[in-house]
Amino acid sequence: MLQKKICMVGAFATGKTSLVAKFVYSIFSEKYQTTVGVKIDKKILEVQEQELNLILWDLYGEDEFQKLRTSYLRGSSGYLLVVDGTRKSTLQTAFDLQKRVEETVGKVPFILVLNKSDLEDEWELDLAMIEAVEEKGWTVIKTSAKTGLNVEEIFHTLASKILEG
Amino acid sequence: MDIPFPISDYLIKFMRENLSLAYLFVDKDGCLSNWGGKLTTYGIDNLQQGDDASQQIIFLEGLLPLDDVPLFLPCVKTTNGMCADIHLLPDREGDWILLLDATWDEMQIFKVQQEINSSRLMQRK
Repeated sequence: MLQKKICMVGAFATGKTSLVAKFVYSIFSEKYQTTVGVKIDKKILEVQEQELNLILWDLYGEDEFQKLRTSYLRGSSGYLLVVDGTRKSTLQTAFDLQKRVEETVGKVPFILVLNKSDLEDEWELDLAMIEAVEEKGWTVIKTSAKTGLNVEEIFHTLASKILEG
Repeated sequence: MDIPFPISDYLIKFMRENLSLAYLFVDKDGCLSNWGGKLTTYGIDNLQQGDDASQQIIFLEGLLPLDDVPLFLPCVKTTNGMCADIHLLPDREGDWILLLDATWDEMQIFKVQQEINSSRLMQRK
């Protein structure tokens, strides 16, 4: 079966693990649990009338003390760049990470995921910031791991982009 | 550096018994050719010699063949919940994959990191 590896990257506590848990196991927990290293999961999708085994690498969240270990990214066909809408600083982390991921794996498809849309009244990101990102030509999708909003969509959209090459 | 035999022998025994040493060898065509050690600890079983390695061991997808440079992937948690330090070593005929149990390390790092991250999130509220 066709297999593709994708990575979840972003600052700590942006909801990377929760998005994977919702997508693969249909579960959500309010309790924050930090990821150490990387967790690997898989899910078979049907994309463009073919079965695709998506191998998900959920990387630990970056902070000023723990920089991204680029060896984890090797062989990635695409990535989800996850931002917590309630913390503006996580958008800057995503910009920094995107540069480093591209330096490591080259220009592969990615999506900027604005997570925690269930808390949109607490967001520090405003429309102008989001539009500025979209003007760069990036695909931006709002999600909520809690409600499930657009969770399937981000993985399917990324998988389609990967298959389109 | 030459390591005296009693030390290298001790290290191998220690890793075999305490760190669930396991290994795989994947040839240049990406097919699994050899394996051994405590692979079942990491949820790896029913291996078929000569078949595509990454179809059998999903974390290998995209990683091989190596570019003649070793690769280290610390604290990799596979679907059965075990955490392994994975070392990938290039060789003439293919690549070696060495797995060592990192569960204890993961637990220690988790305790510290969880505390740090939770307190940073609390400070924001």
